[in-house]
Amino acid sequence: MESSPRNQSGTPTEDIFAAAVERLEAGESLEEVLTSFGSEAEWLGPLIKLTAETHSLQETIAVPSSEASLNNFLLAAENLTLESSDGLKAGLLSRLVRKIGGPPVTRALVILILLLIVLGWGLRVFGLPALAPLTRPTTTASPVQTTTSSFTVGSTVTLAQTSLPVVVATGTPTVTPSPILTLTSTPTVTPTQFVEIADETGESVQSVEAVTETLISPPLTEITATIEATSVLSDTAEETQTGVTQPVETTPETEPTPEDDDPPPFLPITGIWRDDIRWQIEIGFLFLLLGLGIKFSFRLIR
Amino acid sequence: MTLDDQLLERARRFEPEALRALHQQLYQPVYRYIYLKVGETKTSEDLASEVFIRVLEALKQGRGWSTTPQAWVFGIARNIVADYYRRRERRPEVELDERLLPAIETSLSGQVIEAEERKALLQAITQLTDEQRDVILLRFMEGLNIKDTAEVMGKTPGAVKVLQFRAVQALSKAMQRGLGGLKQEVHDGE
Repeated sequence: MESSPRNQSGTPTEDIFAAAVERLEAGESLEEVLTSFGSEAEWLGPLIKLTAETHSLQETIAVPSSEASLNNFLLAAENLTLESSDGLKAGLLSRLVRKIGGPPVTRALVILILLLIVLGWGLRVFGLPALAPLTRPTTTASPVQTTTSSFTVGSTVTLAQTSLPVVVATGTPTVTPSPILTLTSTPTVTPTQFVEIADETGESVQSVEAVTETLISPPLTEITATIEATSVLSDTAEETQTGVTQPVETTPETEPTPEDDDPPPFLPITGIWRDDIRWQIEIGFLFLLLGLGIKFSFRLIR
Repeated sequence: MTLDDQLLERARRFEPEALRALHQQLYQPVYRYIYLKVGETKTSEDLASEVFIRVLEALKQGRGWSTTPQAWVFGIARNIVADYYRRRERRPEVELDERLLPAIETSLSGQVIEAEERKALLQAITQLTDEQRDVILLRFMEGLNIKDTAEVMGKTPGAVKVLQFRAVQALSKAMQRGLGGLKQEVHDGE
């Protein structure tokens, strides 16, 4: 950079000039200022006078009426106000940005971080797409089907099962009076939701949730459970009878038909279908929010 | 909280009175600045209006001035003029014509010398570089201080001090050339 010319005391001339202008702006008279600068006044004077003449140009330039511009300005403000009341970004986010303060880049970053926190929270609450299949059955919905098997108390009952989700086993116990039916082992059920034991009248007496490791495959083919009946003979005595294992052929109430493999044409919105739609709406909303935040942040930076 | 801060808060809420005050305070300076950089009445009016629309959009986004309204709005005006020349792909150079000086036209009959000097001054301003012209218009015609001028121009106060000195020097030389030419014209006419 070109070095500035200096006066006798070594002060750059632009500093002398700036100081003289500032003193004039502070209200000192031109003569006063020039006198104080001594020999510098020779070159300083014309330049200072020139700045004063430049200032007087304000009066020279004819400015047209500002009426039209003002009306446009106020009308635009009104339109923007109406627009703001409709939009999330201009309302909530603008107020937030004003509270944050600081340069635009900082504000944009804060907005983005807040939105990412919201998104992360949302994903945590509503679940991630990758995890969803592990927690949701992927089998097709089927009508509730009851499989009935008669059994002898103490026997191991094997039920052929072709569909989910409910299995009801009813039996005719060989003890009298009416026994209390008890499952003595966890039924081996692959896969199902629960096994229900009913007495001879068909009234449900016990329901045991079957713990299964695999919910997806293989399809349910068999349920094995040992059922024991205990008859209360008196207030003080109990008798337990166990029967000989007597597998009984399963008789499903509803025979599955080939069409049953396909989902019904008019499935009610329940189960996995309901979950899918809800999940999609929630995740969609979160990403929309993130998109708006990114757009708003970029506008702030620009 | 200063008056400028209060005005900013109210303007951000789009209060009509605050917006009106802002417009009335700054329309004329902004118009003059644009006019001396563009040289066309209609274009200057359009660009000045555009400046205020841009002000509204910025306010809506929560932005505003950090020092003074003048510095902020002149910064917007400077960008708009730059965009205008970028769109036209033309060097920002004002061709001075008679339409630029309506006030001088009326004063010619009374104070010929003074009017001619002003005309020469305006002519000289148009011959400066874009930055020199900016600093002359902002610093001396509109009276912005060093700090605000630096903010508008995106420079340091020190750089503005140097620039203003060189701009005034260049203006003085251009004036001498202009007035010399004018005297020569008068002499030739006689």
